[in-house]
Amino acid sequence: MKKLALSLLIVIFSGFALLAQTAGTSGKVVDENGAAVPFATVKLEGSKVTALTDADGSFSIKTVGSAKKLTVSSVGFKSVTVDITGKPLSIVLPSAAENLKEVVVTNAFGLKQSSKKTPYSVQVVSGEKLNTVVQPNLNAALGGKVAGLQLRDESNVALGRNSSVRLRGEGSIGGSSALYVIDGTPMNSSDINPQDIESITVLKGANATALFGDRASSGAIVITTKKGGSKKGVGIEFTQSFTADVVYRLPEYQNLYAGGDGTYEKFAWQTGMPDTWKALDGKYYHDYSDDASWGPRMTGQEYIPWYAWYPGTKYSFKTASLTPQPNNIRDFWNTGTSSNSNLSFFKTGENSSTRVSYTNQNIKGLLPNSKQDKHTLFFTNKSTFNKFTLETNINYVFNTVNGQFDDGYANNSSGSFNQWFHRDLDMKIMKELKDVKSPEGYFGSWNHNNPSTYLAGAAGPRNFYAGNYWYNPYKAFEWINPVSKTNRLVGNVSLSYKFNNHFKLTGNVRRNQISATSESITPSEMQNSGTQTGDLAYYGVSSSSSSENNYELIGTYTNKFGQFAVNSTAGYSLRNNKGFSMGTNTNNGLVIPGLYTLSNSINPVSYSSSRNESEFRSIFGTANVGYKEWISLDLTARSDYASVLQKGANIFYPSVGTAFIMSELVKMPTYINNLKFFASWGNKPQLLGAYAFALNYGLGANQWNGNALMGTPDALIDPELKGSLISTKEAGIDIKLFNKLNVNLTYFEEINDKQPVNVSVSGASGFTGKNINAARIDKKGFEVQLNTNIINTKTWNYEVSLNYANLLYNKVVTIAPGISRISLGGSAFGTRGATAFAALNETWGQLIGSKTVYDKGQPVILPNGYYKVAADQNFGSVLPKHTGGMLNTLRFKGNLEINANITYQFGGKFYSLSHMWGYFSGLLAETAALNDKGKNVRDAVADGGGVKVSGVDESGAKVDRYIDANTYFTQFYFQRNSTPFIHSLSYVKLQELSIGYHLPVAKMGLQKVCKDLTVSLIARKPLLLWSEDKMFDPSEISPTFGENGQFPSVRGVGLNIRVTF
Amino acid sequence: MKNKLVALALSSVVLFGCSKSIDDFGDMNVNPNSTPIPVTSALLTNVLSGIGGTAAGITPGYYCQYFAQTQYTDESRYTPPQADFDGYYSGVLNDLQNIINVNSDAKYKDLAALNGSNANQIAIARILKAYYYWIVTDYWGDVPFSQALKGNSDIAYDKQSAIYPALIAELKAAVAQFDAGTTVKGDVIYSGSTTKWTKFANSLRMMMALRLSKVDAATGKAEFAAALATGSFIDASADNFTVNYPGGAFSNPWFNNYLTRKDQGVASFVTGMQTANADPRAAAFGSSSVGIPYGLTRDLASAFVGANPTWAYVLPASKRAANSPVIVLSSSQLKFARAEAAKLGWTSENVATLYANGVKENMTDWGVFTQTAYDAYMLKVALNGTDDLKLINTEAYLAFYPNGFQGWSNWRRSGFPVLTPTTYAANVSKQIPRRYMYGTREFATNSKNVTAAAANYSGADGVNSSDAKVWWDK
Repeated sequence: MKKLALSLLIVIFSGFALLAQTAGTSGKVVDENGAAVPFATVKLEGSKVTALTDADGSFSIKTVGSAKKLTVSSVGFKSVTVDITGKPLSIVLPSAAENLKEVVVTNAFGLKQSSKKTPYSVQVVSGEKLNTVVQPNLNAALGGKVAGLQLRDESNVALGRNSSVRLRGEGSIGGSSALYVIDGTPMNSSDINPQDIESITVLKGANATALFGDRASSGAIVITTKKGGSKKGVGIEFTQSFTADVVYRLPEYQNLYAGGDGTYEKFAWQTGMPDTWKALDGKYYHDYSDDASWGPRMTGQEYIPWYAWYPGTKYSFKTASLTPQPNNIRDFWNTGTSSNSNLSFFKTGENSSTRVSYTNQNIKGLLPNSKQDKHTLFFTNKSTFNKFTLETNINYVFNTVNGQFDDGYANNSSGSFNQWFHRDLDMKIMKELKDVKSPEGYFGSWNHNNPSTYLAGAAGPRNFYAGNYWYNPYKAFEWINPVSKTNRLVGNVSLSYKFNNHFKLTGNVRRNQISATSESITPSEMQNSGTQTGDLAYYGVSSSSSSENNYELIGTYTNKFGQFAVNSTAGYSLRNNKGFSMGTNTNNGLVIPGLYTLSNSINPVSYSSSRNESEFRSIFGTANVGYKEWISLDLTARSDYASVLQKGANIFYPSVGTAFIMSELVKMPTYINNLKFFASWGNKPQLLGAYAFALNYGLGANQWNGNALMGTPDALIDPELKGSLISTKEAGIDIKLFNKLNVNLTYFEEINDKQPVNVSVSGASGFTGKNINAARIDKKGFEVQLNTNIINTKTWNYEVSLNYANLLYNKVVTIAPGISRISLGGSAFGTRGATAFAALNETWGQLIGSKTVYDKGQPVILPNGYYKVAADQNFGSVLPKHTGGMLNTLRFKGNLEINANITYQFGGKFYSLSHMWGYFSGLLAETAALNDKGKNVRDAVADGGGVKVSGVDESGAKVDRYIDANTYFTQFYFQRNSTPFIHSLSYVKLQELSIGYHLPVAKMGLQKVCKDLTVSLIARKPLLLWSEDKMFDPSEISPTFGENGQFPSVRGVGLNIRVTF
Repeated sequence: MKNKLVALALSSVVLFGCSKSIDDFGDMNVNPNSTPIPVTSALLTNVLSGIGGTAAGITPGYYCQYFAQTQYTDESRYTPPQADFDGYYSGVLNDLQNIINVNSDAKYKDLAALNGSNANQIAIARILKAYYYWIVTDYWGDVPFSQALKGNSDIAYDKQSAIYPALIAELKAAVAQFDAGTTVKGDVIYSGSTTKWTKFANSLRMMMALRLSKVDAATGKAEFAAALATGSFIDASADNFTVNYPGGAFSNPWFNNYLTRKDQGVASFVTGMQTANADPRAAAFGSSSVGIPYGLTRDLASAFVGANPTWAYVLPASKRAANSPVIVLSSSQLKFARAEAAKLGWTSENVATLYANGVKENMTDWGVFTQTAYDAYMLKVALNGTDDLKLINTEAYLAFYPNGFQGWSNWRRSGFPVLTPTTYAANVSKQIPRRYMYGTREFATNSKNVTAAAANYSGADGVNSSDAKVWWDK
């Protein structure tokens, strides 16, 4: 039945094309810069006849009787009245306030609409605002600019990552990401050069995104790229920026105690040890093999540093003085540099416009030997001939990243520095001695063993000289240097035929393909130079490719029937996805040291391959019916058939909305420029991936003497399994006042019900999980956008955009019978730390772990001085409740422009693994602080030291006692107590700052050389204005649960030059 | 007009060209990377590839002081052993259940029979299931059994007192099921020999029966005697349940364990005993005779291994090569079980002969047997009529080495050898753990049932305690 309804829709729209065409006058409306003004109202003076310009600014209007003039108006512009000449008109509208202009909203399949009539909240970010400073990726550039968008940024130390965003909290049990669409082509990544972007439309609920289908389950980020200019002619633009990045926030370390455990050993030379060591006989050393910092107090005393044992350096066999190294961690990080060059060419002729752009992003990372080289080529052309329009967009990206280093537990930089390290290490010497070797060829490590281990016979030298758990970090990053290369081609060719002013048929072919290879090597010297580091010589290579093709046929029909304006589309789309991957690697080391090929593997190589395909066929239609100028109704419907659905199944999902523009119906006071109410409702699906309906028995990667291995899958599947349906309701008000202020207020409610989830089941069932439709998440919230042009004089212009979102409610309402929570994946050191869950009746992303028990507000202290701990306690959600941003633009005489963009969030928690280990290993300042008696907590309790612990015992009696510092700070690991390691995600950050100056080209006599020359001073993520947490930068927490040893935050300053020829 | 015709034509194409087959995707959603029906021989190999690991349990090996930790000393200081048993069920046990199901399913049994007769495949799977359930219940006590492996939820726990008789009955039934049909494929232990599997099954019955020595001696005696009476059990090294690792991807677990780590060595408790008795097996148990004091703090352990660079790794390098075998159950271990059964009056076998042969076979299995060394050793550990249970179980303890699961379980039952808990114990009771605590996963997924089961195991640290004893541990 639904199918029939849609089919009818298509027939009806086709029929419209048969209607007669009326004669009139036509023209194009542009702004002062020659850019099209879409959706401007064109009114025939002295009549009720009106028309709207289309997305290209073109219009045609019926002319009746004696009418001789047209009035053109659009919010954000001054109205203009022109004479009808009989020829096509070109009308220029002078600007009013920049940030109050009517904007074009782009929805699925490239369909455009005026923001004036949208029945949902929508925000369009201009390319200008997006590129205030050059951010390393698109998501980072969106931070703070869209209400309801939470940027989850990542440290710039990590190269090649794209950060991520959440729109309106999280509606999906397992978390999900928004769909990125570029010129109508869906991409599964945000990997697009921000400088090629003209504007971005951010659509959130199902009411706004139903037409995109299932992949927009958590919203759509719709990108329109820059096209050739709208004015005829040729132009060249060149932009170059340089940025220098430095490490920003680090935890506060203790600078009193050296590495090792409590012992301070006197070295006694023994027979069998190298003679050269005799020089050190009788001198003292701290335990090198223990990678914690519970060693002796650093008082400048003479000691044997780690490097004194290796021959051949100026430090060999010499003692040094044991002194604090307060800046050793900061000293380690390089100053990163990035260069971003963009050259674009555009040409606009009578019937054709073209833009070609090339961008090179070249980054030298903050870690040794990390770099990124990314090339983006973008081509766009739009040509019209007769009634045909051909549009082509092609975007090619080639990216090479060297040193995509891990930032999880026990990584060789922050994972070591904040979790396992010696506080007495001098980084300058560390760097200088990165190639120091033992006579046998073992590379030196600060974490080598203690001298007596040398006396283990033939194994002795390696026992002693090689790193126990760690290498010299400078050497480690030279050794491990994974290389990944990515090729991406995304683009579309679209041909439309305009039958008449009412009916247009468009065919699109879209493709998004990506291929990637990565190669990684662990050198043989690395294996030899570590005893318990876990590194075996290794060579691995993997490649993957995926492609998505979309074919669309879309008919568009627009017409006016009396006071009714109809704008409708109907179409069919087919999407096919294919993926392929393979990987292979050596096992258990290499036969011939230093030869990195698969055939050199000691054990048989592991290999894997996988391929997948899925297809989606959809019929869709939209209709927008407006009555006069004051009310409009929006309808969309889409029906999907897909290989990933149960056989024969299809899903149908509609959306409906209305916009009521009161200011067009009722005479408003003059200060109200526009008053709109809107309300809408819609559904959208969230589908399963391929192959979800059967138990899939795969073969093991290796055979046992010719016997294949196969295991039973761990997830049981409900035979009725299917995807879920997301339903959104939204209502709001949009008001423009005094031609200065625009306020948009939106309230939404969203339900994502019967979500397919893998619920953990008792392994005793034979399975560890079961895939069923069960979970439901409800969200409610409101968003405010406020744009104002506070000052607008000839000299000064100050614009502010404020946005704020309040996530009132984001609860996991049901999971599955008997299931109280589902892990969101990823955890800190197994189950030692609190981990994020979708927990029943709690806000999504609840951190759950073991917690100190309180009795009437007092912690309960056990007889051994430990805090009493209770398992499975809630610590709060990882979702911030309040998010938003503030964008400021100040212009002076049209020459100087200052932009300052702030992003903020309040609420939300994260767990820090580094904090836990930083306690355990005695690295953090708190582990060597003074207690209330003024003694260092590391001093013996008998001498007045120790950590003061106050609380009650299990009977409720008051306890006040001092606990040995090591016992106190290691208890949290032993007891799995997460209490001290829960941090706040609240912050206010100056995300972007730019001070730009348009050089007076004419005055300088350069007008023959260039049209415009702008120089800007830029700063990215320059200042954490405030954060509740002082240890980490809460704006850059990557894993869902929190911090796992991740890289420190980074800030940068730079220069940007733009020349237009 | 032409335009309009074009439009109509195109719309028709869209409408009818696609709607005809719009919901037909053929086999596109059938996973090309896997098969929907399991290959039973591959399931069996998968189970057997990991079975050597059950005889290389490191944590219980700390509890019975076979091994001592060198740096991170948590387990050997008894930090509460809360562990999930899910892996046993969803891994090996469900693979075995799957072998039984596929071989019993009218639709698939003929296909499965390509890998050996249905009855023989089922019988082997039942024996292995009984073996794994035995391990699970001995670690945790009461566990899901009768209601397990059904893809169900809300799974009740069975009492260990009910599981034991059921396992013994299952072993009997499995042996009875063997037929003369085709040899089972994928059996990397006994190459499908039903005789050897029968011997293994009957040997397991004896081992299980002996566990009942304190809690239900009558049943223990009856079952032990019945198994012995079959005359078909592991009585010579050739019948040992031995995992012969091919090396490579399937390597000896001790080889893998020491590949990039050195977390544990032989405990000085073992090396001390061996040195005192001039035990020739010392050379096979560790890389040296420098045992590590048991249960030290991290500082002390690091200091000890730092000061004693020749400390004993578990097994010398030659015994933990990638392709070194692991013995899961040996004739020597059976001899000590039979010696104890005879000593208890359960059977009429000769205690002294079994005891002597047990030592001899164990030394032979390790490749260190010489008549002189053996004779000298037997003088040191000779049975004396008063301490015999202690002596038999101490030799059993050595014969189980390095199988921590058996060493710890036999100690829990017999109390021998006498072990002293570490003075650095970090648990509340400061006693050696007697069971594993139910894991967090079970509390999250089968809360009602595990909570009820946990209530039966109280100790100094509350319910679900590792201080509490399992049913047969008296």
